[in-house]
Amino acid sequence: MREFFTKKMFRLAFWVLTLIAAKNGYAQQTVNGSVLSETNEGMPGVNIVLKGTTNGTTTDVDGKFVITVPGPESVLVISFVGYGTEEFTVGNQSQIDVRLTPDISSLQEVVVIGYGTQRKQDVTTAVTQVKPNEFVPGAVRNAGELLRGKVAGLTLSTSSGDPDAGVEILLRGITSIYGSSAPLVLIDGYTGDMNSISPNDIESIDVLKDASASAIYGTRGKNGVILITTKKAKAGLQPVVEYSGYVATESFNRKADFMDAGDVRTRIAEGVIDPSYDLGATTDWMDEITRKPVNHFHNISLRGGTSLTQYAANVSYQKADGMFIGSNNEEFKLRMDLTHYIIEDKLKVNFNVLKGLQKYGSFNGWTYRQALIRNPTDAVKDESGDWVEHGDQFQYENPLSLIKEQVYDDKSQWTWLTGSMSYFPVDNLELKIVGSQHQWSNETGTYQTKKHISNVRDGRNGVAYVGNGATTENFLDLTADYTKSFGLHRISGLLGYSYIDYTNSGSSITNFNFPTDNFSYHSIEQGRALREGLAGAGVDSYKSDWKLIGFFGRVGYGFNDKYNLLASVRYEGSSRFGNDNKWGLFPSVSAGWTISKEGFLSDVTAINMLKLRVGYGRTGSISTDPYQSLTRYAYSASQFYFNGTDWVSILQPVANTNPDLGWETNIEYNIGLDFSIVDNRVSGTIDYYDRKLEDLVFDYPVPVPPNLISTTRANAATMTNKGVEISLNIIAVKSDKFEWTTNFNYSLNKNKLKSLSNEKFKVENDFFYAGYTGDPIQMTTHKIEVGKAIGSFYGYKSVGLEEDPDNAGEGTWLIQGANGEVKPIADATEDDRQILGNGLPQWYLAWNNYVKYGNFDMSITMRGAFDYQVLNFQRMFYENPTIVYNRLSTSYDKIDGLTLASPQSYVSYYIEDGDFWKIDNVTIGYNFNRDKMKTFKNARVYIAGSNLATITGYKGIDPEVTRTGLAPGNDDRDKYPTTRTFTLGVNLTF
Amino acid sequence: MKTLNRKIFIASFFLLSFICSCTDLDETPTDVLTDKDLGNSPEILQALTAPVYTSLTNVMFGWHGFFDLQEECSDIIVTPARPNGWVDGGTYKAMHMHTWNSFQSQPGALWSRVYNALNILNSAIGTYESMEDVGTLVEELRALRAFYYYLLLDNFGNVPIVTEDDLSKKDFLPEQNTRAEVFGFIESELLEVIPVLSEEKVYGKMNKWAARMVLAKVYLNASVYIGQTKWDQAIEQVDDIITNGGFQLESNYQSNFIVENENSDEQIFSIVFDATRSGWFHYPWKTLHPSSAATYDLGSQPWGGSCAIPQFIDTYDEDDSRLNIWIRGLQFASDGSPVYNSMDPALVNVQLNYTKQIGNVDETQEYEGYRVGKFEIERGVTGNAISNDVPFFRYADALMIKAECLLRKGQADAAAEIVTTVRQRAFSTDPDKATVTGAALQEGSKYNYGTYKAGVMLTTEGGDDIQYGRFLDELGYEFAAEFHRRQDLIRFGVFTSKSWLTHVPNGDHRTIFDIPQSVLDANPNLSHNPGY
Repeated sequence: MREFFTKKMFRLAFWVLTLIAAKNGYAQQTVNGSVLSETNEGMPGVNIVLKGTTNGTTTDVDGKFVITVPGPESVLVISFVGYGTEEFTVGNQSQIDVRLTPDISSLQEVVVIGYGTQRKQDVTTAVTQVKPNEFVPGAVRNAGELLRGKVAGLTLSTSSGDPDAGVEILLRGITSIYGSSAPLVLIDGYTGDMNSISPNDIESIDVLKDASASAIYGTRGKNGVILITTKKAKAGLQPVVEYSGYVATESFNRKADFMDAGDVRTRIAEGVIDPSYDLGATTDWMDEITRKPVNHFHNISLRGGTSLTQYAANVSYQKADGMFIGSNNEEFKLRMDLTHYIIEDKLKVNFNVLKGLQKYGSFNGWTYRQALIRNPTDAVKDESGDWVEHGDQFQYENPLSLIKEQVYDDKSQWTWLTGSMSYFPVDNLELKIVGSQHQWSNETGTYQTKKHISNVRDGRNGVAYVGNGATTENFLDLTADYTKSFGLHRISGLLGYSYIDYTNSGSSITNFNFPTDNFSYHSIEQGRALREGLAGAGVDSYKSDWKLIGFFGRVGYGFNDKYNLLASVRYEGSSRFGNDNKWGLFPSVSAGWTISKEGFLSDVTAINMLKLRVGYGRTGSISTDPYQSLTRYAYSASQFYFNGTDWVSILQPVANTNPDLGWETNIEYNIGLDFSIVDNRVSGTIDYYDRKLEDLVFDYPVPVPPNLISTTRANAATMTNKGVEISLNIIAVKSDKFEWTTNFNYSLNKNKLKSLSNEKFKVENDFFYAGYTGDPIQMTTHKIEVGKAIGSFYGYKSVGLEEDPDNAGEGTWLIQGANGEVKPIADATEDDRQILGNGLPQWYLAWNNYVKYGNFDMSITMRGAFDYQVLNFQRMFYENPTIVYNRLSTSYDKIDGLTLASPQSYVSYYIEDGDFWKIDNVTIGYNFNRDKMKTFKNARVYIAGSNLATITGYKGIDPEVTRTGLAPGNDDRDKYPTTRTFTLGVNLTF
Repeated sequence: MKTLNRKIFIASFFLLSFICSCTDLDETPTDVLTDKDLGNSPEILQALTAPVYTSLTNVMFGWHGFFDLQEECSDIIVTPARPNGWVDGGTYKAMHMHTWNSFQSQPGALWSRVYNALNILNSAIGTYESMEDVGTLVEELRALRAFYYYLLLDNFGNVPIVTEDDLSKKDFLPEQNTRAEVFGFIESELLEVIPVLSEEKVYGKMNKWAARMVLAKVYLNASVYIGQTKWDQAIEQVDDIITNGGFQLESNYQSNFIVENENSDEQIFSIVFDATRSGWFHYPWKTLHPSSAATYDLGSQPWGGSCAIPQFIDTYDEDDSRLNIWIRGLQFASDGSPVYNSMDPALVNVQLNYTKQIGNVDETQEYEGYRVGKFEIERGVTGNAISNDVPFFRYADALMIKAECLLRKGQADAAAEIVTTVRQRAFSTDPDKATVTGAALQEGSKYNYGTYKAGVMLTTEGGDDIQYGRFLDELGYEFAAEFHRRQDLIRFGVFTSKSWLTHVPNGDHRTIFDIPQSVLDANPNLSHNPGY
């Protein structure tokens, strides 16, 4: 195949050249040559261009080339990325051997900084780049998981084991009260998410951590920016085909230890449980609703190009079963990129298409809960084959009927179409116009049959739902980019305009009481409920839109590779802002001083590089939905007015106007030190940041009247995040056979809510509550208080049990009262609540290792989060012998020598330290010898294990729980348990 | 260089012309209306004004609504902790124990729902005042506004009186008024509009009779509100209703509370509910045990909480058919088969039997307590709301106001005559029992006050010492679970002086609730009510 391909290409190139030559009508001379690397290996894909023309060729896989030139005076320009360009006068030689040497300066890495790139040595801001060889290997669900533990200050957690679960991202702490703290994710400059493209289609991920780096993104930059750059073809690249694939399987790394049938019978024998609880059967309900999943992933990419036309394509398919029956995930993604120079060095066009399809599974926390709490002595089906149900028991449903008697189809697709044109009117100046449209749509259809609990108990007689949602996002960017070096000076400049509009619309129908199950949800008009206007049936549709327009500019100046300065500004307006506050200004400035280039350090050979960076920036974020600044009225969908004869629509005010509504602001100072010492064996980065988050959005109580509604959404709260990030890379061993690289990432963040008020909007009490236990406890879990960090647990501090005078051996909670006195929980008042811990880790550490021995390589990723607490919901709800449903085996463990007799309560007993250290990923790979293979240029097989071990004192399933929002640290009882994954994979390059 | 300049010039021109056309950031919503979209059409005006009535459904039975606020602090209904929850951070216990503060959810809900309605009322009154040919609409709305202020007067006392109709005056901040000022405002407004108001009975709407009921209530409680008695004025109001209103007592007490109760001749002012078009009326779900879904073929399981306080049940005459407002005893599914307990493992095979006995506010079993069944529960409801309308004022109330005023004026026999009339339909099997005497009405209450736990009286206070206690009992029988009790207990001096179930008195200032904290936070002109 390869030979055929090469021959064909060769022949094609020959004919093209022949034609070009013929057209030029010159006397001809054929030159054979080969290009060798510094290690005397043939270099494929090297550009050979006849100087002064666009005629040229590239070397074949062995580094050989043939070119026809007009005559001996012809000059060949031979170039390859990362190597110095060589020029040769052909003369009378018919065989030319050229040796290229690596170009140190051009080899220097480039980081992506938004609307452009920058040489790494010129970087003045806090930017971290992660390349594919550093990505977390093995089975990842999305691009976010590639970065786990790789960037100091960036925490990514997937607290769920659901195969379609997204990843929670925090960069430098919680940054908002009402809004999201998630960083902006841009794929080749356009809004996307971690799941938009295949993880194998990524060339690099650059994280803009501080505001001096992200200010170029204005009102989208506040939470930091993650720039994902896809793989592109390069000029003069031989066609390369790569295949990556794996199969993987999963298991829960820990299961909640509920009583099994045997435990129940033991307790019955002990007289602890009433004999009537034994229903005679033995069922492992978790076993019934779970399975041994098989997941697989395939990715094929093709890249190649000439000096004029470059192409890249990537297609990926992944399918994961998920541990729970029905919790599947299936994704298909295709991306194609084509670049062509219409006029070389003058006019370039690029076309890019991305298509993604995803089918989601139907994991429902409710079903999982039902399996946990269901009596293990109950049968799945009765003698007549019907699901066993107990309709009289409150919120108690057969989990298998919930899965098997429901049809669930949920799929999304997204299409991104991008076209751009670059014009280079003079050297070093690029004028670029990019237009892009992102479409996303979702279709969901569900049906609950007549055997589902919704009919067996509630008489719905078949329930169908159909829902559609779609978004369209249009982008237009105009940029002018100029770079120039003269003498010791390097200058760069950027001017741009950016336009985004976004539309979100959708509709849904719910109906029930169907004549037959045969239609599923495909003939939803057949349900009688909608016709009869019954509660629980209904239709709805919605639409909203917004616009964002920005003007931006950036200038950079470097002197002698020693001093660097970068300043940017963005002037941006959003339709979502109030009329009196439509536009904001977001400036930044940063400077770098490469101290190691100074004379006084030139003699210190131990220091290879030392650079000091300082930066200041102002960024924003839009934390409000469209139309929030306007006085709005809505026709009620659920309430109508009986005017004496008829029911008519009512119009209700839904929001007060706030013409000052605007962006949330981050004012950030960053100081950083980059260093490289001991022959570049030890390198690292230390950053200190100080973020002042102002104008945070909150719903403020306002008097009614004069206001229409008792709260107004406004920007008035202030918060700070201060922290340190340390990243250290050590090449511990480097020899021909053995190589060991190790990397540490440490981050510490201190968060403090400074104020909830400004001059205009005030709260008398400088606190509010957040988080919720859910029923039957029905209490808030967290207190957000001025002067404290976000994430404080707030509730009763339990100090033990008090024996019940009527029932010896049983006891109810004693708590610590407001004045330190001990009292029964029955006498507790709201004032007795106190701070019980904090759910946000104070610091994180990751330790990555990469070992290479001969053809083997191994990587080990470990990471931990420290100094925080977790509220263990499963223990709070199920470690209690008073409940009617199945419970944790530990329910009968004595507390202070007594058996718990209090109803389910939110007390500090269930708040545990969450500190953990995880062996996150171990991958062992073997690389086949290149010279022994005919078909492949590269071949590697590997096995990987993810989430292998967790060292923690936490008694729940996984201490890595949700960290976003205002109630971090709540380990929800219905959460899909995290899994351990084993993967067998291959990477092949053709 | 010249070429370069020209190229840059052309490019810049191209760029600039493009950009200037793309800086428009005005919003035009497509699925909501802004104030600019409203216009002044009659349909829009009606839709904008309608919430002044529809809000009543939310006021009454929205979560932690007016019903709960009046009943759960009283000696009739309690929401105790049960095996399936209902601790909820102590909110129900605070209602029972009178330990609420400015953060208590139920008073806060009333305040915000009422002021939202007042806002719309003020604006609508302003709009219609400026229009011609609107009949008595302005008076109707002013009477309705007085009704809302009556709720505030009764529950908070010292509230800001706002009649400002221009909502664009953002700098305006309401000032707090005294309870006496609020009383005076309601009185003068009603006296002014009543002569003009329509006598026509448009179902669910304010008219002359409803307005007179509001004024009668205000006068009846004047001793509480302003420290002056206004018995004659109250009688004057209800007399017009009795003589000219054309109302009569339904022969069957239960007819007032059935699903299709809109045809009752007894209803003076009703809140119109509908399972799908108004929602909110989910009290059956709040009171019933989950297993009772099978009894009423409910499409969703009840949540199982609120029930009767046993000491109140003990005051009933066993032949009083009004005892049937309580769901009690063994429970059966609609097909006649038994339904079972479901929360206590030891009881799951025992038939559900609603007992009179309960534990206390901290611990009550799943089956304990009579459940509130005053409003008929329609079979086969698919959502979790019922369609019965709620009579806020009914004719029996007018009669009992007259009786109480007469009693307090020393005309006990005349009062007894009216009370007997009201009682007659409750004792159809034994009409003699319906008769009460003037002397009897001057006796104390049969309610055995004192603290109680699981069938045992822990302390005994009794009710003999309550002046006109027997009349209070009569109000209890007639209006139990009709959001009357808090006001009546206060007027009879019981609310802050007696104990029941787990409740013990917790201060005389509890006769009004504190101003909600979120309201205090938002308006510096307001301060806490006395004692809080």
